[in-house]
Amino acid sequence: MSHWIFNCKEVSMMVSESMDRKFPLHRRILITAHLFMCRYCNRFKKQLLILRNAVRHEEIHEEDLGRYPSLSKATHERIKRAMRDLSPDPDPDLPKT
Amino acid sequence: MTKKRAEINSQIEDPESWVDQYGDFLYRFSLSRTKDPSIAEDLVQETFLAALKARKNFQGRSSARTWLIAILKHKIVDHIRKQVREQASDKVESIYNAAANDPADTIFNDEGDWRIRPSKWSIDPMKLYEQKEFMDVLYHCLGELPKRQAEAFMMREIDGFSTEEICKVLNISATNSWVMLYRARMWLRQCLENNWLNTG
Repeated sequence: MSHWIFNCKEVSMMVSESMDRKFPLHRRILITAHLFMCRYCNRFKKQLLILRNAVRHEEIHEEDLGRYPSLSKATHERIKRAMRDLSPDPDPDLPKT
Repeated sequence: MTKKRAEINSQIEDPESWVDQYGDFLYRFSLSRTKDPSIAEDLVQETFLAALKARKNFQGRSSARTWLIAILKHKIVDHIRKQVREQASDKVESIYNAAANDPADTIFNDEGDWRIRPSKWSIDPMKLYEQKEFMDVLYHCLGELPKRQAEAFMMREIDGFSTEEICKVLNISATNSWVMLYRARMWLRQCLENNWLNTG
């Protein structure tokens, strides 16, 4: 579906790019106009935003919280030992409190 | 020194306290994606070691938990990528080729119209944590992306890097970074649609 200047392929690229940089006003108006008239490009934009939210997501499904156990005390110690082995000396470049 | 800065410094100076504070949460997060306790443990350990090496970069722009989870997500995707590669190599080769080429070539026709129209997703963006299958498929699809595309995508979406920062790390031009991000998003969207929508 071609609307005004841009076709759907071009709009899909610009929708993605607009998530990484700001376009000039006149271009934003043309993209918005296309999105208003084209439900597939509009759907595409919403789905890219869902993708963004999904990868940024930090919560764990409630069911999994109950099902999955904690790290054992031994594992805690093993990880701490590995960290000590990696960094025996304090880093002199670190800011001091 | 502000209270927040003092807290950040104290967290940086006592990395072992991260294990007590965040170890269990990271482990559950890791397990929810990998489904394998020993792999989940290894990834958590790798996360803490990577965090220790990079602790000077932790500026306190996000919470320590968010920073550690971001590192863990990179580890999880690296792990899935290795798993995917170990599976049937022919299939993987074709997946990589498809993702490395411009996915838009098959999705749009010569006039630039949708050849494969985006389907309607019945998902509440506010309740993503309830969509286990969606999240599982998403991580699998991330693992199928070519390495540099996945890196660019994750730096942008998980670490919140600007385009300029991505260009510096990957040594690419700004235009190149937008193309990489576009292809990654196109591929992920299509991969989700093929693998999640059909089962969801």
